[in-house]
Amino acid sequence: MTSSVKVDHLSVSYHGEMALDNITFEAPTQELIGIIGPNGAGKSTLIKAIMGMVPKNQGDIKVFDQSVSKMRQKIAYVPQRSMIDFDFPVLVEDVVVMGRYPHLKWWQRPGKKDREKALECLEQVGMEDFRRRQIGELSGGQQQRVFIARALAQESDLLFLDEPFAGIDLSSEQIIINLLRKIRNQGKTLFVVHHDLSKVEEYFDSLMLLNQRLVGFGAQEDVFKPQLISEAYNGNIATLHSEDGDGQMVVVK
Amino acid sequence: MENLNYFIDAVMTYPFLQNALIAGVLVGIVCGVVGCFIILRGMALMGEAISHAVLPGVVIAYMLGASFFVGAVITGVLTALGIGYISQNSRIKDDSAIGILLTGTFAVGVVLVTTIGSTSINVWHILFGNVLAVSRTDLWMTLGITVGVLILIFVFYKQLLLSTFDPTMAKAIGLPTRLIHYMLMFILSLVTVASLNTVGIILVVAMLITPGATAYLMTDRLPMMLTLSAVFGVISAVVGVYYSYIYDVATGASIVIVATLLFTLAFLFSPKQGVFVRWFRRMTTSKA
Repeated sequence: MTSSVKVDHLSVSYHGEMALDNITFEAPTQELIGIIGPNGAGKSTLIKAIMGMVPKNQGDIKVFDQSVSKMRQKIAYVPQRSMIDFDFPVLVEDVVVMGRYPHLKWWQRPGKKDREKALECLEQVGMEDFRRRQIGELSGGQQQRVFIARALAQESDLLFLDEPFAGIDLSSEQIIINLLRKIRNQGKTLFVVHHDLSKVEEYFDSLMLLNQRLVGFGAQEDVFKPQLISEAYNGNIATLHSEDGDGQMVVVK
Repeated sequence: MENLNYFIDAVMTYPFLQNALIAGVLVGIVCGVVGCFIILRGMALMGEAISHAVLPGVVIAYMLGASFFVGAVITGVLTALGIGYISQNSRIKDDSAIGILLTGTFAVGVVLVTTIGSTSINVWHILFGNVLAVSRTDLWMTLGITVGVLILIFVFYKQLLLSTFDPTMAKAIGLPTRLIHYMLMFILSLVTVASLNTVGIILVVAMLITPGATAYLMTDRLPMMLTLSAVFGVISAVVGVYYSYIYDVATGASIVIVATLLFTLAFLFSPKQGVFVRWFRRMTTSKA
């Protein structure tokens, strides 16, 4: 098994407009992979297409060399926080138990083992003390950790995280990136939709630059180049050089 | 106390009052439970639309001599499909699509009623209920719908919970979210038919939304919310029938008023969410 996700000539359109144009790539396993691009670049659409949630115009998608419909159990999804109604009457542990649903038959209820697994995953993200809290009582960073625990409870090999750092303070961001690294070191592959360029070099092993078409994909240091980033962001970037002339930083205008 | 004894005597004596109470309790339970999902999915307006869309179905069924049941489900589900179709295939948003079809289908129902003449079918009873005329057959139908719907919700609880809380994950793990949506629309049509006699088409939305909303203010767990909602629905029905009998006022409206009062109490005094309680807590903490 050499690739986690293999996408071949994928095109997707939304309401008659092209969202993803002829995307082809093969992603490695056991890596933290960042998906970067401007708003409307199709980042969320790409992960939804890989998970088989949006219809594709053309193209072929394989996950661990299998079709997606056979691999659903192995794919976990961590939603963008803005997509969740945090007034919903569920406790933290209820949310994590949902990660067990793909392992249950349609009539089965989560049992004792599933609850134990959920608790174990809450411990992994350091949220076990909050398990009886309603999900909305937590801070943004804590909520994100709970959803990561849910993905862990699913025992998947492939995780998709949609903007996990959006609206979260810096110390929580640090906790979460450490968690993601830990998960990668357990042998899993993580795709992270990300819009902030400042931490890219520090966070990701591989990088995908997306703007409806694939601008670049590969090892982070090969892709995170001003010229490619500028191409992805339609030229709306500035390169800042440090005083000694060695370091450089790319920011979106 | 005297009134209460009088009421209990009447319940013992008159089968029509027994039927009314049983029907009210069943409707309270089933509307309370279904209503929780309607609230959490933000579909209150959709509930309004489906319940109104049931009118032409009921009238056509009456004209053809068919069962109310079948007519109501057909027009209810067709309307749900129509709303989805309009909002997906044009720039018209969901709430506008609902507004158009809610009034449109209801108007068709009213026109049909006027063509067949008001002597054969009592519009007032369909619109506002006539709980004191609940027949044995009506009662069996209401019981059947209640039991059937509760079984459906019990069996598919896990799927309903996930698709309501996180539709994206639900889709990602392969749940048929669209089918679940239309199953709920189907259930809504059934529940409206079951409530026809008790509260009528116009007020059924209150039985769906108000007890659920009251329960929502009282708890942080869905199973508890479902239970409380059913309990509030039952209390509203029983107390509503009581007042309507004692003061000789419209039953459906009386039930809905009780439900609304319960909501008002929860809104003010719920331990966690109550407006008054939170205000009181702010006052005491700022002093301390």
